[in-house]
Amino acid sequence: MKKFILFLIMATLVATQAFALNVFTCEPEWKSLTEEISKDKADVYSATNATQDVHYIQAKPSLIAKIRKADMVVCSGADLEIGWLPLILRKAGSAKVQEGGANLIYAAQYVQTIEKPTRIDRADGDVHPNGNPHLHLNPYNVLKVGKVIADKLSEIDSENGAFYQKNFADFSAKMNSQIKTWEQKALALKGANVITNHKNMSYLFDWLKIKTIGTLEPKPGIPATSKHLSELKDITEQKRIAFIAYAPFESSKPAEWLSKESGIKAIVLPYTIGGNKETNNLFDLYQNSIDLMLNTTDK
Amino acid sequence: MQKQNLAVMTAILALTCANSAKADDRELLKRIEQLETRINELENNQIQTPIPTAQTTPINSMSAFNPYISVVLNGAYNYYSNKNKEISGFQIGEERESPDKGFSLGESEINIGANVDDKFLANLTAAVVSEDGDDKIELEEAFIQTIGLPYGITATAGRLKPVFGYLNEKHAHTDEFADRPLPYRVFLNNSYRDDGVQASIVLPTDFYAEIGGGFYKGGYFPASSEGSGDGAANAYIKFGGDITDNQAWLAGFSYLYAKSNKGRKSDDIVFKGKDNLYGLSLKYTYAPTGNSKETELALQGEYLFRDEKGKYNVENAGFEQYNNKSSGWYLQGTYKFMTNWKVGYRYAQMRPDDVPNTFKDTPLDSQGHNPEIHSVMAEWNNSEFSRIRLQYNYDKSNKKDDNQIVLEYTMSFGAHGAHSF
Repeated sequence: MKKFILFLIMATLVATQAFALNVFTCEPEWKSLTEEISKDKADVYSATNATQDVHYIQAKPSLIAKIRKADMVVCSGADLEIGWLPLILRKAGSAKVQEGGANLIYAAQYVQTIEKPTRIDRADGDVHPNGNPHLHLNPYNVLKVGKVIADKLSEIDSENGAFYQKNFADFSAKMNSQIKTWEQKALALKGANVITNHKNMSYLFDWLKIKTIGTLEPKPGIPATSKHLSELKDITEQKRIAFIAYAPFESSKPAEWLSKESGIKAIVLPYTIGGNKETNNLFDLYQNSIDLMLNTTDK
Repeated sequence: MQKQNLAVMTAILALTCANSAKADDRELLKRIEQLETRINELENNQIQTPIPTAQTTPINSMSAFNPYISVVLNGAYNYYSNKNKEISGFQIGEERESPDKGFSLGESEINIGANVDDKFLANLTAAVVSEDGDDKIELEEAFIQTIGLPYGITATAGRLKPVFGYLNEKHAHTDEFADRPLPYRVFLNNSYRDDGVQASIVLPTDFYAEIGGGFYKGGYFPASSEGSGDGAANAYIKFGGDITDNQAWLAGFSYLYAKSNKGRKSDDIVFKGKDNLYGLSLKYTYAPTGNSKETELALQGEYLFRDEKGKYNVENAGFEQYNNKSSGWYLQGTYKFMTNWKVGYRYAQMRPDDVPNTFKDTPLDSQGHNPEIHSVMAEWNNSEFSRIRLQYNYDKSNKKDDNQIVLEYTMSFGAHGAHSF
């Protein structure tokens, strides 16, 4: 019996060591980024997928169970997950990860957020006082967050610290060289006017110097209305618009309507990992987004 | 003489300076070019140092520690075809009293909370209620809670809503219907709240498993009436998880023990004794497109069973023994078919016990009638902060049918509310 118990203890020790770390991420982009750095040394989980609007997630039981076991949490922050992350953190009652704790990384704290509202009033829709939280669509931001993740992983699991730092250095080098190629390629898009459903593509457009002329939502978080859409139609008649873009989890109806009325192409950009078949990692995300946008400008 | 010397000196100095500048011209240009390329390089790979977001530093930080505050306002227009609000076969608490016909203000709720320090958080929920023309403040919750104890343990102390079934701990404004289902109105006076301590542990399992329980003063329905207190306790276990990415479930089994030696009073009925209440709850959600913001089907059902031992006194006729076993259940389905629109249906039923001869023809005598209510509702949410709901109840709580219509608004402002499951 004693031998059996000893065996059980050994077995659990071995089992728990197979994955040294449990990382909980709020979005697929942070899961992908963490995996680029941790490789097989961590079990990385994403609370959401590309078909979901991350802002409206419920504090599901599965999320409480997952965050309870996490050694580290990576989320976008800037109030993107405010409806559910504080609640699951509170319900899970974990000693390792808590609001304000060292092992909770909010990406928005390490980059310069854009579109910070000057007026905080819900009459303007579901505004984010700390700026636009959809910051992963600018690869420079991803590199900054990647460095923070690499440092945190090295701190928690110092034994593999050099491994994480090397993986990040490799990722960073590859990303930097890709960025140059993408920026060259996307020169054709520079200065183009576009319409999006929600301001969740702003960082991509900001990076590539594309101008957002309007959104299909009259105000953040308020679905498109026919009155607002007809106003947008008037704008399309006055200005040259390159394309209308929306995310995989958003309704296609308003974009399709405006596209039909104005003759401007509507495209679904992947938005995050898994947003379409071609987008399996962060490199695919930028590559595919730029390809899709360029396709609309080829005549 | 001195002046002349100075002038010469200055001239020489200026000349040498100019000369050396000429000689260094190329060197300088080279250096500027080098610096320019270095700046460009830095601009292109600005990854070295993370920039924390700019923070404003007020001179006096007293207000920076303000807690978060959220307010929920609720108002309704009610119509009933029948005035009788009895539920056949049961003594019921004050909360079951439906608002008067016509316009009425529901609970206006104020919620204030904050982290006290790194080990505790505090939360206060007060509801302003209008009853018989008087505005009263009810302290719904006032508790402190631990943060980050080891092993996933959380302890709560103060005025709280103990976990029982699915609905008891929930605030009414998050409900899918304008009123609580029959079993909650009968057995828990809508929602049982009390002063005490509750502890829970979330197990480190792949699926969600939580075990908890607590002890309370026992000063509220279904324990003794306001204030006195003979003791109450609860225990529960909850499981949950995902079936696929777009299907989630939560199941629970709960127990509540409530003692009322000093008497549980309401209108003309007093009860002295013990309640053993058991609850079984199940919730399931399915988002057909994977995005629950757009479409979602939610099913929810609960079964409550009460084993009661004690004496009833109806209309001052004297205390008589009445040990009884009764039950109630409800099943509801809601469907969000568009981002802003939701419809739902709920059926609720009670199973009262047969009364001994001493209670014949009193309100405790159901006369073989099982109270039941059919409810349908439709709601429109302009944003996640505002809701307008229309609900129709075909109410057979007692032998006389009642057609009820409720049109209500619920608006929340202040701190962003939580999307609880």
